[in-house]
Amino acid sequence: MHNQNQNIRWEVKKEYNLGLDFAILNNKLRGRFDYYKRKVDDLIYDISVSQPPAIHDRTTMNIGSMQNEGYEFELNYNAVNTSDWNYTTTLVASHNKSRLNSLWGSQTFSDRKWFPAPGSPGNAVRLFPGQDIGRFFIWQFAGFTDDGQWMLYDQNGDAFDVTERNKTIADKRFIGNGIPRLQLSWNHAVSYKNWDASVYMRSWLGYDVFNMINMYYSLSNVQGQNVLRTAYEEHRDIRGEKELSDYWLEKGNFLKIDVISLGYTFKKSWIGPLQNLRLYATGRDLFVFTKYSGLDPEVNINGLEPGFEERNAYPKTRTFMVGLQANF
Amino acid sequence: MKTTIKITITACFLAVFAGCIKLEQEFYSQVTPQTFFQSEKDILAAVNRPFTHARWYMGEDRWRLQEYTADNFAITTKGRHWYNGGENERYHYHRWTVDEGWIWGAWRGTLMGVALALDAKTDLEPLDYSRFALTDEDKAAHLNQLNTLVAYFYMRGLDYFGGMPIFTTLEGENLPRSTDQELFSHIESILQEAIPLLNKKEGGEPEQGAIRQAAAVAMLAQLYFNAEAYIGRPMYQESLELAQGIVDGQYGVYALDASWNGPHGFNNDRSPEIIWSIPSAFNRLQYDWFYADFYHYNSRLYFNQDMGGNNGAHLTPSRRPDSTLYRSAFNLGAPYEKFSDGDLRKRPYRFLGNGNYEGMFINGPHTTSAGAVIVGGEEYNNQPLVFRDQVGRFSEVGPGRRFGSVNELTSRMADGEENTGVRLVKVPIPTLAENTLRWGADNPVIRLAEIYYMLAECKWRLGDQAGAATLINEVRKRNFPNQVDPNPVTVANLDKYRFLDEWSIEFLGEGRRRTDLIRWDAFTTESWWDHQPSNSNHLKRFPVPTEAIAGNNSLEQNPGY
Repeated sequence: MHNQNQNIRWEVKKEYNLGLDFAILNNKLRGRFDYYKRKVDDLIYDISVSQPPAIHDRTTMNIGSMQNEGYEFELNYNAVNTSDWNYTTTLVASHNKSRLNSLWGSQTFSDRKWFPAPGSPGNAVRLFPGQDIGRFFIWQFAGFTDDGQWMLYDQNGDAFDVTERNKTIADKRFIGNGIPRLQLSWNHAVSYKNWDASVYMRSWLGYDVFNMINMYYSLSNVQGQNVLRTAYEEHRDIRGEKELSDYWLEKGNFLKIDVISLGYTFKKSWIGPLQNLRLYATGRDLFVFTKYSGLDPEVNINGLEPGFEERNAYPKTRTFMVGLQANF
Repeated sequence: MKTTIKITITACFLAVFAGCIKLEQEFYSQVTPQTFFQSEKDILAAVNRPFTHARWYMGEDRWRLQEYTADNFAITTKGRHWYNGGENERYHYHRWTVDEGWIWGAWRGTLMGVALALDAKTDLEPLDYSRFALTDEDKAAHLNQLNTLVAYFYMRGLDYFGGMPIFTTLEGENLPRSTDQELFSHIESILQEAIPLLNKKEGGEPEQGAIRQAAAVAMLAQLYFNAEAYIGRPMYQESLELAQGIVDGQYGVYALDASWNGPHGFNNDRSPEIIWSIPSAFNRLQYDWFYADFYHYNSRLYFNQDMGGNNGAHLTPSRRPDSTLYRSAFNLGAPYEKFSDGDLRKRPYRFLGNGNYEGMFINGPHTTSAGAVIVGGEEYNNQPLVFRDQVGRFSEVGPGRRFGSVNELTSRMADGEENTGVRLVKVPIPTLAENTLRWGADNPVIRLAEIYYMLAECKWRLGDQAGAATLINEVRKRNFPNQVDPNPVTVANLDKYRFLDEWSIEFLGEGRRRTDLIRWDAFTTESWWDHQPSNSNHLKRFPVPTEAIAGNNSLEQNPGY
């Protein structure tokens, strides 16, 4: 039994919530607004520790204190409500910001998100008290040399060729933001007589995604496996090994059409003993509108390492369903 | 119009009362240091745990840092294999970064070794040995073996990184790094204290991994031997006295082995040359990490074995693609041709049966013991596999191919092929027919030949060139038929480069090359195959890895990183 931690405590969460619910225009327009501030003390994570005194290099510890602050806003508008027509639309918006307040003990920072081999790219996240969660701690790309080597900015803002001078941790900087500033969802539901239809859309705005798939598979020096087309096109003259830099950061902004569905409910007089019979067709995960070049900009945005599209991302599939709903 | 506005304000606290969140545990059984020790066997289990860590520590990342950054070994890129994200090139060209995996493995492995040894000490120190029919001397020997092991790990750490945090117990918190001098003195005082309390080898008994007196003396001699690199102050006289004492038998009975492969063979636990070794045995703890790195996918046919290789590492080449020797181009490296032609070790490795074998290399045509051709699977797919002491894309030479003739070939880290480079077989490998011998050779960590060479170098540096030459020749002669050395060391030919060659020849692949190059101030100032000197003094130390600083922010980075 080593790396025991006899002092481990429960995480402690304190939350303040200010909410406003309203309904106006004869309940045609209803809404909700919530502002929250959440403080989590004694966050529990596996973390790098000093050895000795620890035997192994990682221990589960209460690593520090973090806060989340944000709002959620929901608006529901029943715009049309006649005997034949009904149309309701719902908009939900939310914003969240997380910040690390403190780290344990004498620690002033802690590095995470070790990038795997091949190569030794390093860590892409640094926890730093007072810094927002979701920033990338990486080198800043400064271009390529004529013979295809990487150039990065040093700590003074001067560009250097990585084959001429070794990069250092001091040259790294906090860049970008892996947590969306705004998450939106918008639902429309319309019905006409026995027909009904709905569309559900979602959007994340104002964040960056670290495209690990491009980083690992889009350079021409990758051997013995399939690579992306870019390795033979815009990257064909790059000779140098991949660098953990903002070259691989992209805007993640997207609009997704998650669901479109159409239904028809049969008249009671047609269906004999049944209570209800509805025929419907639904399409899921139908369209993504984004300039992001990876597989899916909807990456993990929770925890201490948000905003990375991992190499094991699995492509989403479009799903179509036709169904019959019967109630007896 | 009806308007309702409802305002809710909630402030919610997840209240914390120590009583209601404390998990009360009921133990049905438990093992603590107070209840664990029931017999001598349990004591030995505790003493040996850090030694099993040492077994792992001697190989892999620590070995790689010593050899792939130096002039004797390289992992070239072989077509689609072994580019590994540029890792091998960065070490060979001395362009490593603070994020490199091997460097982290060396830091972590070193301090984990210290931690395990301190942990075992913490358990054993309060123990009453008389309960187990053991004496206080037994206890002192155990504790001082652990202390010596701590000193060993710290000395390796000093070699790789300079000052490290000095821990003497596992109580307490993160510590900052010590200075080089503080760590040096700490190692020195541990060893000085341990030496009189360790057992002496009587002679004849096999080595089973325990640290005896001579091993601790040898470590102290190594510390002084490299003191100029460690603390900027040469201490060759101090090293000489200790090495002389071991050679004179003051610290136990040792002798040079009569045969070159005695210290490396299957029964090397009985070699009189071994001062400290890590035991290895078939299907137990095995010293085998290198097999996959060194040997070709099809070399199992050569060895008549069932183990798979990944075909990575080989000796740096002695010859250019046009077959001329590199000798005029640089003094270091070219390890294979540093061996004289009559040297028994220069023969191809062959297992002869009954635990006997000859030769130490794989070179030239690859055939089975029956003489059948072994074919390749990459550049030489289904063609005979012929290993060369050269690096170049020979498969791309010829009419209509990329290169018109071998004169156009480049020889760089990027230019390997599946048959590139001579392969070292220092640890013997039996055929399947005698498979119980497999990994039966212990890993010789310290052997008397090293003490001879250390003593020789100290003498040479202190002005006794003749004495130095005699000592080296005494080791050399066993490598030749009838002990007739065609190229003995002489006062006239023994210079810096000959010394480095002698270290290379006798200790090829024993994980010490970088240290030797640094002691001779050659690591950053000399060229070797596909390597230009950086003249950057800071590269003699590796950086403190990022992962270590992540766990302990008080660690200060080495200059230059």
